[in-house]
Amino acid sequence: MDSGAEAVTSQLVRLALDAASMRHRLIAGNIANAHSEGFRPRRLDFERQLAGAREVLLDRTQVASSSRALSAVRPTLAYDNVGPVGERQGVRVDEQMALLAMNTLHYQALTTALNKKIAILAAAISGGGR
Amino acid sequence: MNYFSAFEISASGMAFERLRLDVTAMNLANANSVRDAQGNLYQPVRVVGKAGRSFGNYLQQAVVPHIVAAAQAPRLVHEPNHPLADAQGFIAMPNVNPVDEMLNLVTAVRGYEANVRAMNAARTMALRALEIGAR
Repeated sequence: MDSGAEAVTSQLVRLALDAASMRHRLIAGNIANAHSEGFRPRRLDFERQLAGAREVLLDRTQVASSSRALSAVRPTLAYDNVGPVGERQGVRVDEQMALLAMNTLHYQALTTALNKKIAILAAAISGGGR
Repeated sequence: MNYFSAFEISASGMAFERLRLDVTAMNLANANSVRDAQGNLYQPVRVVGKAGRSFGNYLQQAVVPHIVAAAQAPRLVHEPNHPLADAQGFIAMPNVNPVDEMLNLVTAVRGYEANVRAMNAARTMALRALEIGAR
């Protein structure tokens, strides 16, 4: 149970769930500070780092090192690009609300995936029958 | 994962927007008030938010409100028959800009709604997390 793709899936889902909850806190902070002075909206850089680990994950010959590749993925904080004065200053609430809705849905998709995986495990334990 | 911090961030945003609404209402209510017995004239106030590095975590930024008085010259209204009018017939009133106040009012209400949505989203996520592994 603790080897191969089995372990990688739960590790991946756990990582993504943590990133989604972290992202939620960032978006909530952006919205709370929408009318703060001199506030720069922030976002989480996670997917780009995960893409780096994807090659190792998809390579079936490197199953052993996929866990190590995943543990190197760390969500990092990034500031939104701020253009010339007056062009892109402060928080755009509509954009943040869209990100919020997307993130919540993403989180629900991840919990569903984790539930499915647990269900598969439960089916295996009970021998497929009830 | 500590969900309470997500609620606290949104709660700080809601408190901030509510304070902005209160202050706007106070400014509008005092827009036509005159000097009191001590000669003090009402000063319009503003709420300024600053991002606070709160809860000991760099990821979490709640909003910290500061109330500042907008020091402005009083608005002089020509009303010679007013009992408090000066020798030229002018009476000093607070320099409250109704357009600014209405703009503040609308953005505060919308900002409050956005924070409520963020809090509801946190609630949905927390409830889904509790369902992991449930039958």
